[in-house]
Amino acid sequence: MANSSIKIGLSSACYCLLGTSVSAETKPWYVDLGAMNYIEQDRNTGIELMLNGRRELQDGDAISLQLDFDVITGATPNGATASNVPQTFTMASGIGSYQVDANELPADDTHMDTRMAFSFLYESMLKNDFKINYTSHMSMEFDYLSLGGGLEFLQDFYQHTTTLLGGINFEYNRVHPVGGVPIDLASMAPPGVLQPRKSTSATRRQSGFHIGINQIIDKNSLMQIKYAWANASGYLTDPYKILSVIDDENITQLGRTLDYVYESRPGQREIQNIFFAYKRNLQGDVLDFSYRYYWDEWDINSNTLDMKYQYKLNDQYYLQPHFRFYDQSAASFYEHSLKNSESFDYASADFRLAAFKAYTLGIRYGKSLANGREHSIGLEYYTQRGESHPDSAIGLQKEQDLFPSLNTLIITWNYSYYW
Amino acid sequence: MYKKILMLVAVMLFVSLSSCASVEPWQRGNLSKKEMQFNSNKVSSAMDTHFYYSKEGSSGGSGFSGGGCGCN
Repeated sequence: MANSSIKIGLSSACYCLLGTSVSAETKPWYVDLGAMNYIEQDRNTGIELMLNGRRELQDGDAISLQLDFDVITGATPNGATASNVPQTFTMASGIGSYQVDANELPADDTHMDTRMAFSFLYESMLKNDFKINYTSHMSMEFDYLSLGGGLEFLQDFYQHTTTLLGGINFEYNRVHPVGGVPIDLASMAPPGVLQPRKSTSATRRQSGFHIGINQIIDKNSLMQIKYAWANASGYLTDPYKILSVIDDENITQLGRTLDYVYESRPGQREIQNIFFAYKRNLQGDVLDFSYRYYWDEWDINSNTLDMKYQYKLNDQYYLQPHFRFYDQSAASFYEHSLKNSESFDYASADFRLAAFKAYTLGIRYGKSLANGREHSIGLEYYTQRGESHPDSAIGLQKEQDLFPSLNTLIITWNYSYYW
Repeated sequence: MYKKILMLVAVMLFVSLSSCASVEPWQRGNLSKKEMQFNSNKVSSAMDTHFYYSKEGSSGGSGFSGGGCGCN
């Protein structure tokens, strides 16, 4: 009884949004539930819960709603390098501090973040072979807000064998960090001392377009090629990340940490990528392959290769091994630390902007149930490997690991059904 | 950069022109299965995208937009 009330309420709300009558033909919602728990060795732990519901309407139209909640807690690298002596860092609020032992990766273990996101998709079938997708999303964290939307056009040719697609999207983000937005490359003030700030919040925008083609190759395989372009502008810096300033002049103390400064990134980033995907049915098994080449204005180039093979054990059960390889070059302004005698316009020690390779290896076990229901669980291992002892390290730094490996265990669960 | 875009356009044209043997609607039984759709598991894909967005310096491709998170 309660279930049907919720269904009627949800349907009414959707139909009101779309301006159609509640008495329209009702089809069940296809509900997809997911949970992910990832555990990084000596760093963060995250839990993400997601719900996606899709319902087909009249004339081929459909709506999709998605809810996402995630929480992350643990120790996040703050950008500083490990040192041969214990280090003390001021918390973002400027009030307290946290200590890091000698030879340990500096990480803020007071970090905790929660996020809630909502997205909406409406698929409008205007003709038998022409469709428009309308999308919008909203995402909220206690220090971050993101709003966005987009349009995508899909035109079918040759009895739906070929689909050309193209779309535009826009995103507005507002960051209001704890303590305010730090001044670029300003020294980190000791606890209790006023940290100069440039503002309480900042904005960043991103807009872009994509074009592509979906192609049926034969009765068992299909492929997709997409090109996407985007431009991000505004405050693209991470307000919580810092860099160590290292002594490179005093010959007796080369590599000693002298200071910590807030990072600074350019306020512009043009992004492009080419994406290729291929799927093949092999007597019931499914091969899923994709490759992406990415390049941007910050000189990050990356290659991503992803491969899954769904192996049918029988009519009900399947096993799906997964392998992903990722390789990226460093951003032009990435520095593991700053030398005291040099000056910089932009600098960041965020590991995500460093050169590294990443590997994912995993397996998923799934079961098809009656009435279109499906249940699966997955276990994956993700690792990042970078240059731990670069040639640019000097003096005491040579004893430290300047790119500690990231090792993560990922557990996922999915359940889908008609409601 | 323009070479890469030209290369992409050339590949797209090649694919369209060589457009594969005609596959009649009644021959598409395997293709119509859920597991043969691109992005067949939206929730799983969305969670993966968010995970990798928060760990790596590049993103996009299969998805539509940016990450929509601070991801510090």
